[in-house]
Amino acid sequence: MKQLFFASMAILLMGAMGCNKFLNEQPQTEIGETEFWRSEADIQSGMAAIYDGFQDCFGNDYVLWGDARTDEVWRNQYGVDDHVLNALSATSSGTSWANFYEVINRANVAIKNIPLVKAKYVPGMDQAVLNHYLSQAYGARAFAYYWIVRLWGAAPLWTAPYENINEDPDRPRTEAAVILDTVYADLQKAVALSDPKSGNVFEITTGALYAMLMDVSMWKKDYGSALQSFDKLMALNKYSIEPTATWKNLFIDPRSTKGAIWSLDWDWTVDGGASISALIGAGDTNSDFAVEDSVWNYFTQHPMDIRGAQTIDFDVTNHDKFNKFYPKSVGKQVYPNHKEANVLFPLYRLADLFLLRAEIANQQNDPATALQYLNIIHERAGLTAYFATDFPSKATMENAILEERKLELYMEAKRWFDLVRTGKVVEVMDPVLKARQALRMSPEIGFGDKRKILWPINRNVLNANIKLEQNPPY
Amino acid sequence: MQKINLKRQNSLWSHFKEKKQVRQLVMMACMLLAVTISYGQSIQVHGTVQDETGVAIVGASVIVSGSGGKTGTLTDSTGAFSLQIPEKGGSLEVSAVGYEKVIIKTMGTQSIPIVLKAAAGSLDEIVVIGYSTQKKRDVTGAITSVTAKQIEERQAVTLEDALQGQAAGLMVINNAGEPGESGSIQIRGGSTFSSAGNAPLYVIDGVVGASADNINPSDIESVDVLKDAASGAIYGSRAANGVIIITTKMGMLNKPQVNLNYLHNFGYLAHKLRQANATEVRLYRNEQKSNLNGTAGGSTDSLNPGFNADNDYQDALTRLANKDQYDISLSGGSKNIKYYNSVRYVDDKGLILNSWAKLLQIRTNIDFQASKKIKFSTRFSFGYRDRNNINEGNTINQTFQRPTNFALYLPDGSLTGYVSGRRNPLSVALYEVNLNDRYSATLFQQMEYNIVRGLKFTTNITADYDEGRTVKFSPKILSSNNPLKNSGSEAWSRSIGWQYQAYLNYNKTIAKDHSFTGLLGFSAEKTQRNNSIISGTDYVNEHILTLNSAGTIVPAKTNTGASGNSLASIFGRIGYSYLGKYNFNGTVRRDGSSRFGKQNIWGNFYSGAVAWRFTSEHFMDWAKNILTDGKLRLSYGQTGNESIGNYDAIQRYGFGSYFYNGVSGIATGSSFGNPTLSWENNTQKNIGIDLTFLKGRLGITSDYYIKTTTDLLYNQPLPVETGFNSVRVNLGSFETKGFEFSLNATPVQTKDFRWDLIANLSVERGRVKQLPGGSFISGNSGSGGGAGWLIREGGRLGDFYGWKALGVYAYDESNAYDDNWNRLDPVFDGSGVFQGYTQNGKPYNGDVHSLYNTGVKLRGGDIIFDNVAKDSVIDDNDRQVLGNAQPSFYGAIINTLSYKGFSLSFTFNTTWGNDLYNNAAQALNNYRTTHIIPQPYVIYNAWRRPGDITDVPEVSRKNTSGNMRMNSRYIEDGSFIRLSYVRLTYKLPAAIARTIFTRDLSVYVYGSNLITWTNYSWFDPEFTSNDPLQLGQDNGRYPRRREVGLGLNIHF
Repeated sequence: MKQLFFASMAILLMGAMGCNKFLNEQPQTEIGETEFWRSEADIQSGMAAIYDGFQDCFGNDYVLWGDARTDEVWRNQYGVDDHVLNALSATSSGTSWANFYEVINRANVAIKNIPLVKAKYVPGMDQAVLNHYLSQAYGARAFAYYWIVRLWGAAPLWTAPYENINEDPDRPRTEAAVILDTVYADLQKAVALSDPKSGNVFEITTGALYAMLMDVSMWKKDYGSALQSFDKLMALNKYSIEPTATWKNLFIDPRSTKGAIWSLDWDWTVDGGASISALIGAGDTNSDFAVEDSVWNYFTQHPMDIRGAQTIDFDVTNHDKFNKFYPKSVGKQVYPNHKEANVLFPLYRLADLFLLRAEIANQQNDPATALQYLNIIHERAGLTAYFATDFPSKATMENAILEERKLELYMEAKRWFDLVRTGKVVEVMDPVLKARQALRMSPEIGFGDKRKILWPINRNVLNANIKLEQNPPY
Repeated sequence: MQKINLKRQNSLWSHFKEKKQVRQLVMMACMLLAVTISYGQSIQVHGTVQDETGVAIVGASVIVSGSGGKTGTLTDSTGAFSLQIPEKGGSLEVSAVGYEKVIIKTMGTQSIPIVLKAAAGSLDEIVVIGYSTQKKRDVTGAITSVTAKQIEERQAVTLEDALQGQAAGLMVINNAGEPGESGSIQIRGGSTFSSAGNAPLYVIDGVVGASADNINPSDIESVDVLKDAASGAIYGSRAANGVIIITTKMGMLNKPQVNLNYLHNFGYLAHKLRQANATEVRLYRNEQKSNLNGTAGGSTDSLNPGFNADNDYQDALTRLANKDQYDISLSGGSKNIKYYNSVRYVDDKGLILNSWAKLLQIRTNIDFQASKKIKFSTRFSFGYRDRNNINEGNTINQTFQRPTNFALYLPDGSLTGYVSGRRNPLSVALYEVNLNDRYSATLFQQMEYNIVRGLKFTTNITADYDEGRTVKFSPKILSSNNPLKNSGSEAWSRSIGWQYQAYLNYNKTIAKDHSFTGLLGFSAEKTQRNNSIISGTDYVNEHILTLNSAGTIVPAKTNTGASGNSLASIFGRIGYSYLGKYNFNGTVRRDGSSRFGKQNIWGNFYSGAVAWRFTSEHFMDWAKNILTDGKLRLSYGQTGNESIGNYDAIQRYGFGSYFYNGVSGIATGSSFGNPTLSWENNTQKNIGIDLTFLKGRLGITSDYYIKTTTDLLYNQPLPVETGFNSVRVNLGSFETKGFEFSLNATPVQTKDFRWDLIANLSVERGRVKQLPGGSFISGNSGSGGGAGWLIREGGRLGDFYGWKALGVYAYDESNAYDDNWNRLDPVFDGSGVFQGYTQNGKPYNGDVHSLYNTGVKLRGGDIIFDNVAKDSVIDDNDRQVLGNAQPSFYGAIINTLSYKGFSLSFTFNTTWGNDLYNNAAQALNNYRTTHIIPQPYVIYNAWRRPGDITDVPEVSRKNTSGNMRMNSRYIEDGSFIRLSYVRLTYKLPAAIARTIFTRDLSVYVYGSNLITWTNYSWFDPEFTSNDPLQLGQDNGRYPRRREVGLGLNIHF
């Protein structure tokens, strides 16, 4: 019995010895949250992660959001009807806002931690440098919310990171106006913190912040504020309209231009290909979208417009290859495989802002200035200038500006927001959709319910958050 | 004294001895002691012991009756014995494991031939129950044992081959077909949402959680399947899905025995599928061309040599498969040492050209009895596997997709590469490289020490090493790039682990009738995995595949990784038996896993089981002649599951995939770390009965169980607004109820003829009891054609969720419904002009409603979908459960007939009542891609003109009408009955065998997958689904073989 007792004790002792320590396994390819945000290099990595989030957002979906629902494109046999027939549903592609919130969370984490780096670990860090990082984080958060509010309207508002499992992750939608105010406030804060001498075209610079402020003001129809932001941007003396000859560089080498304000960097060797290429032009697969006939006809009938051949591929009979983002090949255009495609998506460039400037002037009943800015872009395209007499009214001028925007900013995710912003969705899309519905032998109802201007919220996104309600009538 | 001695030996030897050998070993040990005692007045007797077929029985014990076991011996390798017996003569008791004992009267010194009859079923067999053994008669849980003899009839290459159909409640899916592929084994259905969590726990020669990938089935002495939780609970963690205990062979005390086996198998394509020939391709092209908005048919140019073949791709791509299987084993032992060594080599050339696998397995088992008190055991196993992993998607699936009129060869005889976006399956099979080799080794060392009588200390340590290397290369000829580009990679992985165990076994009998057993132990284990991959493109030479050949290294696909986990446990068991009539077993186990939150590392698991041998009660005496033995078992047990990511409980920042503008970003992943994460619990109640009739001629076992999983380790979606997609939580529950029935019988047993039968049947019904959020869709939830599954409270896993197709609208006007969404019938006059509607034969004048898909009105030629939501749009509200991928029941019947030297064994198995989603056919028939040709049925039956009544939609409408969304057209009945294994053996009579210096020699014919009865239309209805949330989707797999082979077995 004694042996039994001692042997049992020995076993139990072995079992009890240092078990909790033995069972403490730490990740070997990742770090715990307490080991991060300790140096300026950490901040740089944190910032890279925010921009990487924008790659997730726009790498696949920007065409769906900004172009697919407009008179820019039609679908080919491999696409779906959802976007081009105003038939979105909660399962359509592009209905999830998850990637924007990924950016928002990363930005929230950065906004919380960047000041702590200096406070706790690097007391000697230059406050101005730190502020510039902060400004980018605020700018990124604002930009993500700006896209969300334009696409879906009201949305849950998170201005601090989600860090505790016990915190309720379900939040209801906050009114669109409140979100927009947050965006504006964030941008102002960001401008104040930013250093005009820092940054490059792939980052949120002071210029990019002014461009965003101008854009947001246009969305709010606050033309005065928009003009102020434009003037401040020009006062930076950094930007000028890219010459006709090097127009293509805005899309393939924005760093070399003075017309690009903020572009999305892409390097497929580390990030994989921009999958948007599979929708608009990749070497190994058919596209989902084809050039709308009106655009195709305009560009083929106006060969002097240098944008045409540098935007769409006239040689492809299916009209489904968009070459805007690829260097022009000698002879037949070569497209990268979708896993090897770099698409340096321009988020803001000067032509966009010049045309907005024209809109401001037009709205402020200053047709001369409007014409001046419109013609800068129009002539840059190799076309002859418009005359004031071409636009007898404010409305015709507005339409001309929007048309110029459609061609200049074609497939840059601007058209849909232009139509929504100017209240022209139904006016422009009704005839287009009716023709398409006829092609499908379906009743020609046009755009139909105007509430469908907002996007539906993705089914999975809805299911994951019990407090979310779908946009009617979806 | 001798009796006690024997008991001691028993407990000493039994732990690592297999049931068949145990009695023999005990007897041997006993004899060793006995022969030392000398007698004065005695005579010498000689004899031989044989079985009914005249084969010598080695190691049979021969004891002089009445000597109290003191006088006796064992037969030698020729079955002969000689023995000193008292002069006055007497009786000899002759016994051997697996045979009925006989008592022979001795008369003088003549040679005595003794024939032993094979025993029918044995309650004295030893069952391995985890850190100990038990006699089958004392078992309290639901345990099924499979013997070496049962496995031998299978010529098994994998464990799946060996176990399929052998036990009720054991669902074995065999992926036989692809060289080097195996399948899956599941006990009593899935209980959680991850496939790792649904796999059984393997215990091989005492190593808990061992990998079963490398076990050579012919090395297996026995397999014990612990099905209920009370049996598995001693293994606590990871035992939630049952435990499979494998014990390998060991040599016996005699001269070395050598066993040689060779088998050659031929494999044929078991089921060739009909494919559209070139004429049918052109018919389809015309159909495509004639349609509005259709694609230009194309690629039918009669002058282009590229489009004028008429290939039989399945013939071109497949061949006669050849498999050689060589086995050699050497075993034996002397007084203090026993050994078993084996080598197996399999060379398999599969059905698809250039698909092959080579397999080498080596095992060494050694037991060394250092002293009366101490025994050392060593188990070493080594495995090597080398295979060319053929890409099914680009070979066999491509053969169905690629138009048969596309050329395989260029006019100069060389193979074509890409033609119109379609790969040449022959080029892929011949030129694509996907070589995978893997080395693994396990070394196990154990010491057993008998402290005092009844108390034994065992300690062991295991080291595991596993290394894999994969070389992939795709040459320029297979490239879709412009210009052509080659690419490849080389990946390494290494896994090392150790495991330490120490435990005490105690047993004591008090007052003769009360026997107690006790177990107390401790174990710890740790595993570390590392891997690396280097990827490159633009190889300067297509034969040198090391990465110095690559012109460019691809950073996004070049990285290394590492992870580790550890487990620690304390466990104990108490057993009590009163005269074998009332048996009780109780266990406690406390497990710690590194995968859980710091506060929740530990989980406690309890179990209890009772068994009542009612045939030992006097009131059952009347039934003794028929009912030899009857036992009722009742058990309750808890087990756990920790099959999740190693670091799911830690909030982590990762890097390497967040690059931007030259900076490598650092960010949290999409999954939120949950520090409150804890064990998933599994509780199982089991009631079972074991009946043995007619002295073992018939045995019946039946079990009913309820298995409940709580605190399910569930990957819960997080609101995406948090910046995360999901978090691993302990939420939800799952319940499986099941019934098992198995029968063991020897219906006929005469001098020369014997018929053994094993039959079993299993029914499992698993339901999700509680799910956070109520339901979710796994798989395809959009408009694509692949399968989607609804996982919901009250639902089963494997519920296919999609749209129900009711047919195809015959006319544009057929899309017409009344206010309640009942179909209206359009009426046309003689010249085909639409007149109006009728309903049930009466004219209809009410409002007419129509159905739409994403804004498009459905027309003639579109699928009529079941309008579940009763609104005007067919959308995701109209989905419904279309079928279930889990069978109503599965079972098998295994027959073994033997007549003199002949023996015939054959197995039928069945899986019944499950649905499958034929995604391979769906992918052909969805019209989505111009150069994928549908099946002939679709080409002939597609809707062409108004009035056509068919179930196949019009060919040009790929995705405007939603015709191609996941629908019931591809749900098929997956039931089958299969004649899965047959073996006919002829064993040479012993006398003849001896003349050619062999102990015995047999030749056999072997066949597998010989006949299958099924309505399933693709290659084969039996295949493994990797994700328990996505069961039963057939994406087109490596075709199954029908095998026929010839083999030879020589035993020296």
